[in-house]
Amino acid sequence: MNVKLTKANNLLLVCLLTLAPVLADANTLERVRASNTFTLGYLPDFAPFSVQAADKAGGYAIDLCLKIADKVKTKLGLPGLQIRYQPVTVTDEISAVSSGKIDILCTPTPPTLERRKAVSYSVPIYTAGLSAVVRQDASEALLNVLNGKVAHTGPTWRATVNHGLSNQTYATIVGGVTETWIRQQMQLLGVVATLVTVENTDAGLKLVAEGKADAFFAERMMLKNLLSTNYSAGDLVLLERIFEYVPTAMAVDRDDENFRLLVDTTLSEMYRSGEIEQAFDKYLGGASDMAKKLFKVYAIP
Amino acid sequence: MADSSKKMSLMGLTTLVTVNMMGSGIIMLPTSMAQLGAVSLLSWIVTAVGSMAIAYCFSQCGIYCPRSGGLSAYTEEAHAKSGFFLCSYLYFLSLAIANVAVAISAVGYMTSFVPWLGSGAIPLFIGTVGLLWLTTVANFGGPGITGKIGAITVWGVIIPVAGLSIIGWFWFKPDVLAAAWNPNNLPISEAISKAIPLTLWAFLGMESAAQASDAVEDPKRTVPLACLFGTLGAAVVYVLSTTVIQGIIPNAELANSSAPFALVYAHMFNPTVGNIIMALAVMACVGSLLGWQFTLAQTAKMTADQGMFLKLFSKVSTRNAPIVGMLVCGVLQTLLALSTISPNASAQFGKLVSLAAVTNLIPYVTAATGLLVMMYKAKVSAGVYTRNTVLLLVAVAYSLYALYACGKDAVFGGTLVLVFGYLLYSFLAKRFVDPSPTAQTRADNP
Repeated sequence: MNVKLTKANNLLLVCLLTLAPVLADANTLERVRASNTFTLGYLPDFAPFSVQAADKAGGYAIDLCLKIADKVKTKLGLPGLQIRYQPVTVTDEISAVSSGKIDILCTPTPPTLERRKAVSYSVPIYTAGLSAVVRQDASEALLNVLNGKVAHTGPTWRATVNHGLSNQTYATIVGGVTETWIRQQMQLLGVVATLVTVENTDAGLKLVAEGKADAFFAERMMLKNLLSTNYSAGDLVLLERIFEYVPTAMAVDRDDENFRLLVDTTLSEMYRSGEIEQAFDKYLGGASDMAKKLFKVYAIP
Repeated sequence: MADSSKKMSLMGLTTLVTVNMMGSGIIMLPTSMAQLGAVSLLSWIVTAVGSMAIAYCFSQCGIYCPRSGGLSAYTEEAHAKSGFFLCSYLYFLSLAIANVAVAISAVGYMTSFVPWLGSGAIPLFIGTVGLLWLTTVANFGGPGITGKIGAITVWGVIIPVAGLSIIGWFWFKPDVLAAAWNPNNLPISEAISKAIPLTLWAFLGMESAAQASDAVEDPKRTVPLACLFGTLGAAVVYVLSTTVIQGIIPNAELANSSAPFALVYAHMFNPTVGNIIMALAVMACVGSLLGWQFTLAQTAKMTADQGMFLKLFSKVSTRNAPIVGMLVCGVLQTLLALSTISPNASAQFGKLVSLAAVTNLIPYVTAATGLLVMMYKAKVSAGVYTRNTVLLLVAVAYSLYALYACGKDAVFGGTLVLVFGYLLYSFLAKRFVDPSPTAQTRADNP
């Protein structure tokens, strides 16, 4: 009898496994239970949020994901749950979630309406800030403009060099800040700007360091992190100003509200218990007052 | 004194005034205006009228006060000897600094042809000093030669800018201009008040006619006419060219152009034509530097002639060129150009350039106000007196507004420099006490 049942169970399992790709879209938790594996997707070069370390990964977002994994273990009663780290790229990060290749995208991304057509999102885990890096010897005109002041104050007469217009080359990551945004920000500040795009933060900083670009716009924390590791000599400086804020979150399956609830429960508990703040201290150089206020906003009661 | 063939003609002086005025300022003007939108064109109404009033006052001064000394001589009419000195001193400082800045801008524009010049601080310094000395040496041939070179470089303004004012209309689209009207949706009054500082300065340089009075044929006729024609011509060309360009190139593109005239010609014809236009504009910029270096040396010479600057400034060659004075100015400017080497020093130099605008404007007020005394001495009719006084008030109001627009930092620095001038003059003042107290009255009629 028992043997038969087990056989039947096995058969069921085989069936389920065969159906897995079909069911994948529907249910993350079932997929995890069936495979006994929780797959964390992450961008491998996204320090300090997610970085590859051999066949594992580390970083702020990975720590949070591991907390979620613990919750999954308890919820599903699977103490032996395997954690798999799956590196993804910027181009396939969203399709990896929607196709079920990964169970959660740990690396935080801004939830845009376009992305929401394919995936759903957790509560925000980090408020990204757009900032810029310039060279130590940046001109006063450039610093003025980047700080939202007009490039040139005082009379603009024939002797004003370049008629007070500051001619700059800005760099940004592909798909990041758009030229339109720069124009909007700076049209009335007396700047003529050319925009170049780069593949990643590292390449952008390199352009500025080599003098091929005057300012590189990217996420503040990532800039800060790379500056302290690669450009510790202090030739490059990070602006204090943050141009735009955008909450970022973890992408999860669009049709699995149960899993999303589990993720949000974990994160909200972490917000309230102060664990998020500890993670901030560990990876992001501490939480600012504003970040702490936002913790309360982001945590679902 | 040299004979008249070595002097400048009316045509030569008018082109000098026009090139001085437009040469370096016009290159980027359409971009600055487009950043605000076509609504900025309205500011020309205010600034062209104000500038014409100043030019008119200077030309009247030139008629009633044909003596040597330019603005300083006009100043002395109402503000005595110390006024003469302060006017020369402030104006000389202004040009000495501004010319270095014009050279830096010219090198900046040249980088599209010689990329090496833009590759660092040292190439910029070498280019700047090179241009300063090139334009100094080109003036060694005397005013006649300067006028002739000016007649060539003026084409750098005529073809790209004046030419656009005429042929540009074939490419003009009213809907492009309408779309560019107010891209930032500013309230009209705010847009105009933001635009005035852009066009306010475009006419600075109309006084260079008066400063050249020593070096022109028949100054009593030439100086007033050159001042008026030069300013009027510039006003017409400014208004037409900045209007037509905004109806050809869409606003967003124009507002982000580092070479608007080259862009519009590239749009109308092809990129090669655009490059030729840019080259011509750079030539006009260098031509204006030549004219300003000439004006600088002439200012120093006229002041030294009055015993208020070092005698070496007044020594002229057989070709009527104050070569020694030019060499001294060149050395002084080379030292100023050293500031381009470090970013810190160039920030300081930027402050000096703003200050130089203030010391350029104070002489406008002191000189124009001399007109009241001149008219009194000349016993002009009541009608002329009233007309000139009204225009004088407009001119002074305009100058005061321009001073205000310099901002408090520049006015602060300019005031310190002005007060320091009184100390300098106190060392000279004794020269004008002897031999008798009436010397001052006589100095008015040399």
